[in-house]
Amino acid sequence: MNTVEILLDGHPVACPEGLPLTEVLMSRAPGWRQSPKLGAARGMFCGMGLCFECVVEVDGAWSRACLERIRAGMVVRTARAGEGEP
Amino acid sequence: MIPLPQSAEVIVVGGGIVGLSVALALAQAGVKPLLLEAKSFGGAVTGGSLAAIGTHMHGLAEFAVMSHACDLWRDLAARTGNPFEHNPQGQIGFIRDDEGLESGAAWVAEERALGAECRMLTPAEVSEVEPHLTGPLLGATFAPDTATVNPFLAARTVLAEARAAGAVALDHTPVAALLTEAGRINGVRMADGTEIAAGQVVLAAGPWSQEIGASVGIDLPVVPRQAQCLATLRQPAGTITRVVTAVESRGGVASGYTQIQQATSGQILFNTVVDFIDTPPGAKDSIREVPSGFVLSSIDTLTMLFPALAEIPLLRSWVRFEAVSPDSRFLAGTLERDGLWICAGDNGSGYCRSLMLGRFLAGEITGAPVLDAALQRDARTLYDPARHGRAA
Repeated sequence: MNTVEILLDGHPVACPEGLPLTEVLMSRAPGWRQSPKLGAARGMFCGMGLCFECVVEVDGAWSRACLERIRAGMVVRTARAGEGEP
Repeated sequence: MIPLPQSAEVIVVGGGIVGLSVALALAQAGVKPLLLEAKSFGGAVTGGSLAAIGTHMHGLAEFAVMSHACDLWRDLAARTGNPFEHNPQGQIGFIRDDEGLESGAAWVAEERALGAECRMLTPAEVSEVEPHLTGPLLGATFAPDTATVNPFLAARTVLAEARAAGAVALDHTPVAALLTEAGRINGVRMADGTEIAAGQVVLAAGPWSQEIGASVGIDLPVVPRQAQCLATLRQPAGTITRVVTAVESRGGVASGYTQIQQATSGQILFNTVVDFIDTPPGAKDSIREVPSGFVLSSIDTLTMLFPALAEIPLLRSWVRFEAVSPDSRFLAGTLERDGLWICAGDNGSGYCRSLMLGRFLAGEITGAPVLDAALQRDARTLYDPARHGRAA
């Protein structure tokens, strides 16, 4: 796989092209999904576009991260944008 | 990632339950189909479905093919050990007024004449058949053979069966356009520009079929319609045992609908649609919120029918886009480019018909029908894509 760069919450991140976006979010944006009470890190839920738990902003529009594959230059913003480098 | 093949005998565009069923039937017929899904298998309309499998109130014209469609689901469950929660739980059509009584009685009389086991229930009988259904009803229709399946698991089962039979099915491989040469289909172009050659292409992309057809100048009479649903937190098993629906009006009057059922997980899935929502262009490609009026009317209907459920917490809501045709029936058959086929136009009840339509279309494509001859003929007439005077 080619390595490409995306912009994740304002920070450039190198990752393999074609990888599910959720995979990058799980490793690089630990606050992306949290349990409501303890704030513990959470991964994907349904993983197929239906639960909408993984919604983030991609290139300015809401998008389900589990349906996105990494493309060069994509701009991703999670709800935790601005809270430090991913 | 699996490299794309350069060619295929038949390409199926769309990996929802319809495309998967077409791929399965083709593979079983000895053709090796290549199925291309833009995103996740069953991740659009299919997974958002309530997946009712039944003939009740679907219209008399389709009764024979629908009965067979239901048998195919029951047989698949039996053959595979039912990994997809096929549950022949029966369906109650609740009745609240005299008009509903008249419609319900007419449906029951006509379906019984065709051999269905449905019947009318008095209010006392309703509470025996569905103990928590204690709202103010005049009666109900009852179709004991209506089933549901888990839409995610059933799609995965059909996918696994199709692959085992020789189909190649790829997800996250979006088709952008059809390719033609001298008036006949000769393949597809992917979103990344790659071309795949094929002598036959089946459009099974639900509400996305229209724009893919438009790439070769075909104007399909299929439009997206927003539909939505709600789910509660898990409730004890047996809180609701049947599929509970509104009795639909006769004579083609759009009266809205209600569907309520409890999933095997325990969640109660429900919706009430009074007014169909205007679906702006591009809506199906964006994330839409469920309208608050829909949520409120759905809750009102649920608690009117099941007063005991008044305090249960809602878990989530979702929107899907059904492919709607002018007469609410599928388009399945050949289009006006040699080698181009369609199987789309679920009108909100594609799950039930999918296995049957897959077999029908595989028979049309291979020239060797799998359905019995009378059903194949029925389906050819009912689902003829040319019947609207457009597209073929």
